[in-house]
Amino acid sequence: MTPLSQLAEGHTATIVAISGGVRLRRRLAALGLLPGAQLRMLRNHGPVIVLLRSDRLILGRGVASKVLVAAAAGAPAPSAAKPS
Amino acid sequence: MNDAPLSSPSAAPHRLTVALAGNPNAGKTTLFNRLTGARQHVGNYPGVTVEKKEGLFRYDGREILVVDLPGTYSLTAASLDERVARQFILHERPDVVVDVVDASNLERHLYLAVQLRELGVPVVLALNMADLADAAGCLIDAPLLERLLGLRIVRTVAHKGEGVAELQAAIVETARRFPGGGPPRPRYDRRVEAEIEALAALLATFGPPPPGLPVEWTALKLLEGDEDVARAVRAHLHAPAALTEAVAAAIGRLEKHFGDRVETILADQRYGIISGACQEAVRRSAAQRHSTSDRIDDIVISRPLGLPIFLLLMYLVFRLTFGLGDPLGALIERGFHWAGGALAAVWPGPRDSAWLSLLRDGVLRGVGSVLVFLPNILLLFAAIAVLEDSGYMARAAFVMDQWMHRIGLHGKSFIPLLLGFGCTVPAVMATRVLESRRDRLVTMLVLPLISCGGRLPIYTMLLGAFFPPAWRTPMLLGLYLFGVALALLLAKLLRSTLWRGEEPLFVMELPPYRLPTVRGVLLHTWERGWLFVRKAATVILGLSIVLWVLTSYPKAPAHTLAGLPADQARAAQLAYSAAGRAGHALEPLLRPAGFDWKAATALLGAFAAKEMFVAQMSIVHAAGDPDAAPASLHATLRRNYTPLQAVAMLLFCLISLPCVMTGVVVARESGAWRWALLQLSGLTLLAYIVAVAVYQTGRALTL
Repeated sequence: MTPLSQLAEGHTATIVAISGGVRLRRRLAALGLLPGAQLRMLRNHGPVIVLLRSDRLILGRGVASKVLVAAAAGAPAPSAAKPS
Repeated sequence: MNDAPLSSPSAAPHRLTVALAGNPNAGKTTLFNRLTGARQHVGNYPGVTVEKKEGLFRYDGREILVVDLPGTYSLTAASLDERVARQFILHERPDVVVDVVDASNLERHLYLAVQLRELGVPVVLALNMADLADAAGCLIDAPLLERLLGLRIVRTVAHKGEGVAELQAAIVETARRFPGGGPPRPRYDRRVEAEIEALAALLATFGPPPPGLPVEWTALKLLEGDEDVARAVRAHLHAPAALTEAVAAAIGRLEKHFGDRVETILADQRYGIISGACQEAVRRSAAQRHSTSDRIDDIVISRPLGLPIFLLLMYLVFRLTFGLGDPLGALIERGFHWAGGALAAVWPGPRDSAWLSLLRDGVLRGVGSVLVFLPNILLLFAAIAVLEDSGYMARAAFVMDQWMHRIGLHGKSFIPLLLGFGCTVPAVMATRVLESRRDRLVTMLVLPLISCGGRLPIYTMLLGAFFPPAWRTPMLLGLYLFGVALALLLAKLLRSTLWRGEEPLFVMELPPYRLPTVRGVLLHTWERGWLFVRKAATVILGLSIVLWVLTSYPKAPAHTLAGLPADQARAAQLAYSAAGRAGHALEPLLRPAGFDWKAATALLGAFAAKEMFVAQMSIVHAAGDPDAAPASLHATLRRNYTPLQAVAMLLFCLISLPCVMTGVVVARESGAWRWALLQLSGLTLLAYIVAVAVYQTGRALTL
């Protein structure tokens, strides 16, 4: 389980938990960012941009560090070197 | 455009009310304009500064009032916009709610639709941008989706006007079919339903539900931990302890069973219904809609180019707003000047009539001082509309966020701050690009520290009079940078005091790039521009008359002016006026900062507009026309003040006294005069402290 902010560009992961207050969880839920949701990291410099279904979402670094993810089954681990 | 609210109580009884809901970026505004045409009214929702747009259309002999709700992702109590949207539906009970969704991004957009259905209102789903969804190979079985979600669906392509007539028909038909509320709300997991049912039964025992709190919905919201609903229930039902305990117990049971937090469980339930329905009713070949956008973004927000491109675009906005706007403003100014001359020429009475002076120097100058800003404002709003409609604004926020968040501001705050170098007034209005009220307030409050164009003449006058040419540019740059540093410092300070704890939650969608339409940009520009004129004109007119009176009255006795040259007579008159006397009265207070009564009087005049400081200085020193003969003013200034005093004055003018116009706009945009007053007094105090510190330190060092 790693913070989303540490997921490398091009990697896919599943949200495991969100470690913030109610306000953050509600806000993220409205955009579809819930435990179980699968997302792909598109850009990770400054804030992050993730792909969720067909949706691109920008998350500030603070927010991204509160979203805990696990590498999706079959995908390389977030800490693994280059994306294939 | 109509000025009277369309929702007047005299409305015909057979009139239908439709609320337009939807996510930001779903094309809601475009659809609203297509639905209602030109018959619109812009106002505010009661008690808040959220803009409320209403429009009318006729269908089948019926009049239908369309109310544009703020764009939201959900209906929690998370933001002012969401609360406003929810309150409107609960209390005004519109006959139909139209939810505008982006057809190519259905799952996320349906989250709001499900929440609307929970409220028990009939919902018509406008499946907008249906053409893009088709192009992306996304096939939506609308009839099946209608059955699965219990709502009516109409395909629309708002910017082309497709599907608008069908939508109008569907609205009227749905209202006819569900006269007393919508079909039953969606059902969730049986454990959730059991808790809702039990809480609803308990709520019912406290008497009939208060208005705006339907029983089942209230139970659901209490389970979800909604603070607003909990507060309303406490207020109306007098906080029965049994209810609070029952809610806590129910939440405990659900969290234990699902192993998650309750708000996550409920969001999960809603998405469960959505993805179930979409799996059956939506066929996707491949979502390719973003591919072009992604390729553009590989350049536009890439690590090396993101910032330079952003700065270039901001420079263009700046050039457009002020480069093109200022000459137009100058034209307007000349027009008003000419009108003043023409008025004097045809004036039937004597030339020194007080009425003529009031009309020319008070009313005309006042109205002129507002309209002079109009070209800047219209161009600015046009530029912002292009940036927003094209999808670039989200990119700008992405690029700037890493810098802005260090001082506790949102990425988008950069835009108004940059515009502040031109004029604070449109910059304050540009804070509208920020969604969070806290971000808006902080940005607004520190904006006057960014040196506006109106302060440049003051700097030029004082630097030109007191400092050798080689010093002037570095000193000018130093002043600007000092202002920026103070603004950032103050923003940080406000963030860590007045609005502590609330870290900005930076989460937003990245919409695909779209080509802005001329129609959309013009409409946006016109709406905002008109609002500006209407809101500012009345107040500014009153204030300029007050300032005219203060600088013109009481009149100096004729014999004291007799025989004086014209400029000295004007100086004597100004000294004799209320403003001059106030300048005298303020002198003891301002002397520690290096100001004499003449500078104090000029400062009072500068309150109307920064540019006035130069004119007032030259009048009060009887130095003639500052534009025609700057050298004589410079010489006069050098005789009267030391360079140290000039520095103190420069700093005071940099920090203090947001002009009247800024005060008015801040009050309007923040929704409360207290913010404008806080800004005025806070900045003036800060300016005073800095000026005194510099002047006294300088004197101690015998500069």
